Amino acid sequence: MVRIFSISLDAVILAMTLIFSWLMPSLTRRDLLFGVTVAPDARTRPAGRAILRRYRLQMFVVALLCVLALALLAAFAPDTWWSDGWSSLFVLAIILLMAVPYLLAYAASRALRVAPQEGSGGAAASSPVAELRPRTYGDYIPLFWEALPLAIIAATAIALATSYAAAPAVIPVHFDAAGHPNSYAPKSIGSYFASVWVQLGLEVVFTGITLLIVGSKALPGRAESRFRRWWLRYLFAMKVTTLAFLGVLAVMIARTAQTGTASSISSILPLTLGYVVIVLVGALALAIRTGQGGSRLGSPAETARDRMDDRYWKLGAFYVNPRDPSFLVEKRFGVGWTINFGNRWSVLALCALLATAVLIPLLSLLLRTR
Amino acid sequence: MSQQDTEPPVIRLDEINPLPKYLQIVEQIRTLVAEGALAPGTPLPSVRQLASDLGINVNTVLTAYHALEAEEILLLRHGARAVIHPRLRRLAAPQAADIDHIRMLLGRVRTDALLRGLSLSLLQELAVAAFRPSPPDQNSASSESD
Repeated sequence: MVRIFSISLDAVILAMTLIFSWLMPSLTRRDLLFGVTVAPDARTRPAGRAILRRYRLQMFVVALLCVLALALLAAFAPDTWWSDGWSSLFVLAIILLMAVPYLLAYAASRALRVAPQEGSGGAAASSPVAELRPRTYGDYIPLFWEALPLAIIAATAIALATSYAAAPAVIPVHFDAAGHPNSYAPKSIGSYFASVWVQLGLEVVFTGITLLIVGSKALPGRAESRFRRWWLRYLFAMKVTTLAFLGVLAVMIARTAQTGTASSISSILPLTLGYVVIVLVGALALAIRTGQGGSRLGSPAETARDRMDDRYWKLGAFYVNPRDPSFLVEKRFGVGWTINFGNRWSVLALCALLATAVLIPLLSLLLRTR
Repeated sequence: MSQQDTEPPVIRLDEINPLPKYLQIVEQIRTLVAEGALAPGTPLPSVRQLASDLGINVNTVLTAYHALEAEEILLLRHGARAVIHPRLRRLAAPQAADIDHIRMLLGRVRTDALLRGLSLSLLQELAVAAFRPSPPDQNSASSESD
């Protein structure tokens, strides 16, 4: 079960990453080619077309390698390889491999680099521009919508509270793929309501990310504003569905603790896979509709602009500008936002996020082996 | 929906301009207020937001906002959003001192123009263009022409 789930999950993530990488040059602003400021019509000129063709050919080769590697692993790798999480490292390695065509295309695009004033159709790079309008959370997400995630957390807490007294003194906290509990903990407010604490943590993280995006560096224009609104609402939908998913899971686990039957838990793996597919396909559809920074939503004159100087963009992908107080800025190659590596708070936040991502699996592993 | 669908005025910094950045912000907000593009009570972006969008130091924006506060164009309250002063004197009847101040400034412009070799007829032409009752919205025009 875990084997099929892991293979399917890896296949889905690889397929979506490849599709995104393939499409990305068409989704970024027209005056940016692989993170380099170029003339807005560079993609349609022979030199630009050649770079795109080479990039997509190399991406195709990477895709073939991925399919081959995954097929070999699916056929020959032992079950423990999949259940011990080595497949995540494999996916990471493949994603790193996808950086090679990008770096080659970036190097080639530098030959087409133009001074920003040509690239942005007349607006000099040395004339930064800003809208004189405050941006607030409520401009993008109606505040009353927030009642929904809070209601989901409250409903989960109430559902667990009603079964707390009847639950046994020792409760299952971890399950194998077949749905059999393989780790237990003494019943306490901390352990029994673990899902609620996770939900509250996610609520804080998602809301925090939304607030950072609301305050991130913005260019004037309605297309950019619509882009922001659509993506923030997508993020909100992700928040609500993730909280609901955890809520359902918590109730299932509570029921298992009381009745001892565990068949429903095993349905979580296919549900997780379905959820990942929906999230990724949704992101892809939205990215194709909006383009980066709303570049596919507005007129060319409005959206072919990016006034940040190329010298602050290392490898066309990492923004390093200590003089800019921005925490988040629009990505040059990709849809969404990236941090300003020149801002120490951004770097600290990234380190904290990475540390959490490493520490949580490590802690759970330590707790399980104890 | 709400304010997101109307085009707000924009502010543009020129790094080649010898005028300090904070003064460029002050001058542009003054002009927008004088021309009615920013009405009394209109909220302005937070200091951090404007600094981030323009890619400049937070203190530069803070200095500009304080200068506008000193002129009573901006109302700054601790913990609240900066707004164009609700009691702006723009629509009040001008006082004699106000008229004297403008006469003095115009006199300086005339002297400056003559020293630079401009004829009085050219100066009049420039003045007519500059003081046209409803001047074109420079900000939207410039962002369109980009």
